[in-house]
Amino acid sequence: MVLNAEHLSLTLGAGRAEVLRDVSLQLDRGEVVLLEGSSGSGKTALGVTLCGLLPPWAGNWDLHGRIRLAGVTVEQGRWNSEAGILLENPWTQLSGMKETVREELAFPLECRGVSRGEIPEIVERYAMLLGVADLLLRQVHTLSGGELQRVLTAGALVTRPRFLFLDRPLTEIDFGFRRNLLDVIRSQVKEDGGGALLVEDPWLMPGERFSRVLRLDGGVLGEFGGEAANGEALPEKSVPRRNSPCGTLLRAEGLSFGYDPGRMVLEGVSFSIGHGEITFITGPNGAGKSTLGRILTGILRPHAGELFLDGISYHEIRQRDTMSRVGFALQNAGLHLSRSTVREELELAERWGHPPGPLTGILGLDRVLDTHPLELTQSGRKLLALALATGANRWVAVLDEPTQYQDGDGFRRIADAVRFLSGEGVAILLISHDPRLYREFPEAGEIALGR
Amino acid sequence: MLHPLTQIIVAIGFIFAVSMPPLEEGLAVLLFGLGATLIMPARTETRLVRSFLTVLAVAVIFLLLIHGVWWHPFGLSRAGMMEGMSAFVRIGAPVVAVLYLSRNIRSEELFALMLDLRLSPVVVLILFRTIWLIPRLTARMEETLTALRLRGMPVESPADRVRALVPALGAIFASLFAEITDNSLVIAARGFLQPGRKTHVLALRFGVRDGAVIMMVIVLAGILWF
Repeated sequence: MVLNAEHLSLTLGAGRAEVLRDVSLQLDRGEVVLLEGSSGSGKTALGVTLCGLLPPWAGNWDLHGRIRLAGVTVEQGRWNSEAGILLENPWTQLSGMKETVREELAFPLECRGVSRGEIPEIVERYAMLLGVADLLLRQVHTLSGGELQRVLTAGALVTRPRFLFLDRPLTEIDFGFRRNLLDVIRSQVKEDGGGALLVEDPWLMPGERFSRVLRLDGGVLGEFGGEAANGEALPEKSVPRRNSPCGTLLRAEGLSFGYDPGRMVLEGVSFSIGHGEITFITGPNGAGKSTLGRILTGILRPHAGELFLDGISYHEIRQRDTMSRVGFALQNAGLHLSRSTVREELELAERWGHPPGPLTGILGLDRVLDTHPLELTQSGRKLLALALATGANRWVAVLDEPTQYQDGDGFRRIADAVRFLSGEGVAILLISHDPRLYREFPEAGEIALGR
Repeated sequence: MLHPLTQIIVAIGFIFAVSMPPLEEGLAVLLFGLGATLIMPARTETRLVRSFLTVLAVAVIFLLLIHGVWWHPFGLSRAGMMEGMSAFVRIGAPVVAVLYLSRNIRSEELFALMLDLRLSPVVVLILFRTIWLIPRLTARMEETLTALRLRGMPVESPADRVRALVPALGAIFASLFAEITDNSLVIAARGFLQPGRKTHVLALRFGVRDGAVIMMVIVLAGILWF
């Protein structure tokens, strides 16, 4: 047995909120176990506790129970070389001491005193496995979310810990690479006789099978036999978006853009979208999906090509007016928030000319009007940001990973909001790695990048 | 490539060269150092020139206003101006030195130097976090402004930007605190904070050029001293 946790009870914060209640968990050698649970159910707290990373110097926590990892008792705050962790937000996990991908991947090995001669070979092997070999010389801050997630997964694996806690490692990984990434984790766990606890939304891994599926609900751990994540393979249903049949609202002709000279992210992108049409922007990690979203809203200007909104060139529209017509719900929902209650945020949106109107009810925000936006769960913040970015008077709405963190209810609300906006004539552009959305809108078109 | 320790010695020598001579010469050395730092091609990705120049500009304006202007009745004091300029030279020297270092020492080299000097991992982490904090805070504010513009808030003028940012500061600092907490967990999990042997891929070596540059700094310091 790799990991044996018995009767864990954890309380956190000044209010002594009970996060884990008598949780017992065993991981056998070679096991990759899926952990499910709604947003805020304590999955991350469980993983951090199992790795012994509850900080003794900060935070108000109280833990009861016993954890043994690879035969050694885990003490909180004392480093365990057999534990590896990957947290949810890739941008918070860079060492901050390194500039390139190669250096970042070397960092965990350097920390463990691996000899200088061995490090480059290990780094290159993991870079190959995780499909980032061609990124080794790139500056880490220029990576896309998906590229960074691959790099950090490599960083978590590179020291070959016996126990791995991986918190949503697939969220930003493109469809085509998810199985590869899971295979890399599985094969390492098997080779090393280790174990992995994987937190991920099952719908991101259609058809994937795990040795066990656990569910954390209200701090209590339940087990769902020995089977698999649900879901089906992603349908090949997509209508390439080239020319809109129902009156062009947004048209792009030969768009090209690059952040660095000589490294173009977008090249010769052309499409047209009509009123009320729903279109997916798809492509592998680093293909420029979010970049295209930023160009459409006027935040970035393309190096070549032209954009037309309702027949008028972007060159003839002030940036402020473009932003007013083209709403963009950023992937990081927290960036949109600035007030102390949801009600104030909605009032502000009204003052700035984009009242969410019926979206407030559709997205369930009327139930949390007096809540501080930062007290909402991640999924709640996404719903709020969606309402704020796509209120009235928008012609186009770009939604970057709108269903991230959403369970069934949240997903349904977002799908309803998209339908509502579409019905209002708003052209919707969806950047998403969630297969549920593709199934929900089989009629949607596609702008395929990086192919 | 100069050894990072040599770069640090050059920076210290520069501070010394600005502070030792009389005001006029010190100011000339400061401006020469600033110009040279800006002209030399940067070896790092650090984009702090604007921030550093803003700090210097704000410093010179305020110091001259504080020392050189009488308000009741209004008038200018030559002696006060000189005093303000003298204070500016003393403040400007370390600012230009840090700007020089930020453009010439890569993170990887600083990391390797710290390990070679056997500094405590906690000290290294604090140093890097301090370096990281201002660019990250600036980037976060820019991201927040962009997100608010996307919501429709007018943020064209500086006053608009302040009005937009002030209510969002709580959210910005909360998110930075969350980032630091997450990052601390990951750094701890990788074993960086453990005492004991650490390695670094980049091998730092003193070369002939390092020796020559250090000798030059020592000679220059000697001339200024005597």
